[in-house]
Amino acid sequence: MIPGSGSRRWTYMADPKSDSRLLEIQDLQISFHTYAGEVHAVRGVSLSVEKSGSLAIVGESGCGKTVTMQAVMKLTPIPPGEIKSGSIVFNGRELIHLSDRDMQSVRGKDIGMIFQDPMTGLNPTMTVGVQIAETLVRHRRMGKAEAWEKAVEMLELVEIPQASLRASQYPHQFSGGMRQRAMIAIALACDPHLIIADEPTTSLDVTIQAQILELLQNLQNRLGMTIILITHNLGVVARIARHISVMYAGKVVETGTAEQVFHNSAHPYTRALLRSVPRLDLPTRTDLESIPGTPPDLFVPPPGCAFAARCKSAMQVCLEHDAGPYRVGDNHRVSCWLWDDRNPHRSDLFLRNGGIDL
Amino acid sequence: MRDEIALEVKDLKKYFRVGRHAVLTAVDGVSFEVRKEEVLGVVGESGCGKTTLGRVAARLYEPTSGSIIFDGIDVTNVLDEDLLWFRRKLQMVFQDPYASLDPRMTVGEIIGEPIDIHRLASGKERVERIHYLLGLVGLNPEHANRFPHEFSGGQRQRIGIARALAVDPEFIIADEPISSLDVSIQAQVVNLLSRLQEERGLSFIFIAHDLSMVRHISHRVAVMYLGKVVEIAPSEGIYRTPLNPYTRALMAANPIPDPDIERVRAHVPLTGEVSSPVNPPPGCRFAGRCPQVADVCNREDPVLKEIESGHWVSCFLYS
Repeated sequence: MIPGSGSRRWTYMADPKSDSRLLEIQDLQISFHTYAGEVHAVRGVSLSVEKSGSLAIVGESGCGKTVTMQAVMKLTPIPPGEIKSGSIVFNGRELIHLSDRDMQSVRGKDIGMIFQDPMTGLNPTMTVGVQIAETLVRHRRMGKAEAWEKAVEMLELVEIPQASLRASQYPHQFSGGMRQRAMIAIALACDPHLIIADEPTTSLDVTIQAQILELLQNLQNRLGMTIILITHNLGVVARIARHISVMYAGKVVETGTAEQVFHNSAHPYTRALLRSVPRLDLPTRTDLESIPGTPPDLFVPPPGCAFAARCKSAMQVCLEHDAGPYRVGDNHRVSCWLWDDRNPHRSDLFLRNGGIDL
Repeated sequence: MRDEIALEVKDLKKYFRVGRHAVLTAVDGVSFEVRKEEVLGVVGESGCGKTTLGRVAARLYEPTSGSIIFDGIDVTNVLDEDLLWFRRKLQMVFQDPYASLDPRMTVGEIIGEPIDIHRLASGKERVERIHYLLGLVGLNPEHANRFPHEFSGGQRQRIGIARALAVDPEFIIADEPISSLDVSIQAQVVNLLSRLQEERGLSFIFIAHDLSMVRHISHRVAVMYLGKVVEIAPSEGIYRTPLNPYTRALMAANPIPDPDIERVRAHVPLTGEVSSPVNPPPGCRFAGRCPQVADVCNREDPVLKEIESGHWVSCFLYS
């Protein structure tokens, strides 16, 4: 049997320090049943985030990053969705089998969520203040007046000027950046342990994005909150995240600290992704390195590595069997056959990456 | 790049009436020229008027005032029915590859339509031309019989590019051609556009909000803010020494994909947001957010001045 294949492959990643982990997802598999067939959207994702940590999940559209986080919030539409297997442990508690009713006490209270599009995330028929107060009344059992006061405080926390006036306005009276601040205020209202931000700045202009990132960073430093950031913007990742998980076609292909993933990227996909964006701080090159082809169809996921068809270093084994994960550094893991110990050039890779040999 | 001017716009304005007394100044007195085989990048945030500028320059919108001179001929007031030659020489590539392709037409029909309108080929020659264009943008001849919904975003954008190239244009205005695409696909499309531009000697206006992509593809870059060009300069010059405070802020706001740099970089985000382009007050449009604002900025409008050779900036800091 090929090492790394089969169901036990993630078990050796178990870490004795797991009590410092706030969220741990193991071997999560989610499918969607459509008329055209079963879409294998998430195919065995394992990832974890430590208390007060910041994890970025990076990947392109359709890689399963949003579906994974929806499952954490128990927001997966079932049907058509189906959680096939896996475990999601949050604060020592298994969420996968939690009833919808029990989940309501976690969602909004222990885990806050910031969505990409602040217009759809907010209710257009309610004032912003009422929307913040609502969560406080529900989860904190506050009285209406107290909740309103706290709502105004929350708007001040996210640096909305004239907070008491703004609280009694409707979302359409807010600009895009202000709406995103209001969403952050709602997510933070109950003082959650974890914030999940799904593409929080994608719909914003770059100068407004800078303001929101600054705010998130300040809040993180001040409140010590744990944040999971879902994004495709590598610049945003570099700014916010201390740890990164790179996803491709429903799987995590590489995970490590920001420095490891950016400077010693071990997976060919990560490397190609980083080279395909031009950088403002470096002289321009004549040609961008582009990744040929498109991601695979998840109706019929390839049996081997999903990136193999687009990979410059692909070998026969990549097409037939999925790889790893292999440990290539402290907390740095990659799912790529290049790192198998039967690769005669593997030590060169370690030298180039400055990684550790095992 | 050659010295002859391909397209020149002079004091171009486009106002939209949005109420009884309200006028939206989308493009407010923009002048520039694009030389033959040159790529001019236009950057700015949403609402700065870059898309309107592209559409007015392509005569898809009627300008409120100003002039558009293409290949030495003033096309500002030419009637639509006499514009066929201009439409053949100047084509557009649109932002949204889902909205800009008719879902009920096959790819072959989409690319063939401009060939028919301009009577460039018929019969076997027409089919060959369509197949050649598909090959040019990295698709296969078999794709001609399929419908747009069978393609991914990146492939659709290639179809849009093939359609623009079908009439053998000299000039292309590409309005955010990559912003709806995934990162790994963006590079493919940008490389394709660069290659086509060089091989076919095309002139280009490349409109985008992504500074790093614009810098990568453009010879010169124009930065827009609320309907006006605030700085225009050769690509490397504007990135090495941005002069207008807005250009500087825009560059500082762009996060760099390197954690070592991001961690030590000073982050001083601009305060406030872009003000409304409806009935704008006098003075510099950026004054309300500018970190270096002076009294004069609220009273008078700055004009574009050449500070170094080819580097124009409109700001009172440089007068």
